Amino acid sequence: MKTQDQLAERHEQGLLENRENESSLPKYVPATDIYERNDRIIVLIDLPGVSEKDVDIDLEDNVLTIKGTTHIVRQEGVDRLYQEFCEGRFERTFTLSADIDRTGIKAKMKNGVLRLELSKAEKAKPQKIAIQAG
Amino acid sequence: MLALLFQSMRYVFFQELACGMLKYLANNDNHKRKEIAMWPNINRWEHRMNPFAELDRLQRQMNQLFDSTSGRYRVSDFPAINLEGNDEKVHVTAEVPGIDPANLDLSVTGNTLTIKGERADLDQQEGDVLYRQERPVGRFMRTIRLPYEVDNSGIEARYEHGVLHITLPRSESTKPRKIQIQC
Repeated sequence: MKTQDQLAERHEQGLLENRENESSLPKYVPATDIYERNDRIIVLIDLPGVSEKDVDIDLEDNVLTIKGTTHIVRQEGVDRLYQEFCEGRFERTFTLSADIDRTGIKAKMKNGVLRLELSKAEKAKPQKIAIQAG
Repeated sequence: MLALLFQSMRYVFFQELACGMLKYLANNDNHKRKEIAMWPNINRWEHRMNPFAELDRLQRQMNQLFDSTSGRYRVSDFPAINLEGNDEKVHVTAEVPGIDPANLDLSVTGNTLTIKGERADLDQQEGDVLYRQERPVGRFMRTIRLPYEVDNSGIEARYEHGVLHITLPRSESTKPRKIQIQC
């Protein structure tokens, strides 16, 4: 019990000391839906409190990384009464199969949800093979 | 007689078990609990008057425990909220990503604020292949007890980047008044 109190305190102190340093903010893994429709793969990621300009989408080799930072504007002259979520970073990494057309990735942000549309590369699309009689 | 004794023993056992579970949860969640303890307990007397209040609370906490694991319909833990305020007003912030503000229903009665809404199911079409579904869908409702009664006409709500900001001014009648003491 006591050690847990101490741990919580230390955690809090650490947060305060390193507030300037963004990488020390708590990291969250955002909830994600992934589904495939026709020749596209659609990825929906919950990023509440993240604006379009605070989202970073990186593609390196076939690893897609999505990063976002929330900024909570604290009101002046009010006390914190109860807290369930705090400022933090969202980060999630996906490995794409090689069959994704890397140039055709579309990203859209609406109401705190990021929607990515990945299209399949031509060679990965199902092709009908005609069988010749003979 | 024996059956009755057995019944009551079983009840005590269950209560012990539940208390143990709750204590375990509380310990695990120490940081959060500390914040809750700061919450002004203005309804203190209500608890004293009602001998079943403790049982009610236990029941509610047990329900929350099961709600959070049942997945689809979340009653207690979605959306996540933050509360801050002073003697004049209280701010509530709630994380409700991906919801059309028109589908959010806010209501205030006295000192309770209720946030209701529905998060639309994935717009699934025939032939879609689902690989991963983690984002909660379905109806949700959350009731928040505010530290004082609020002025219904002065409430402001704003939805931005999936976060709902609500400002509720304190009602005039509940504001503290300084009382002059005559000598």
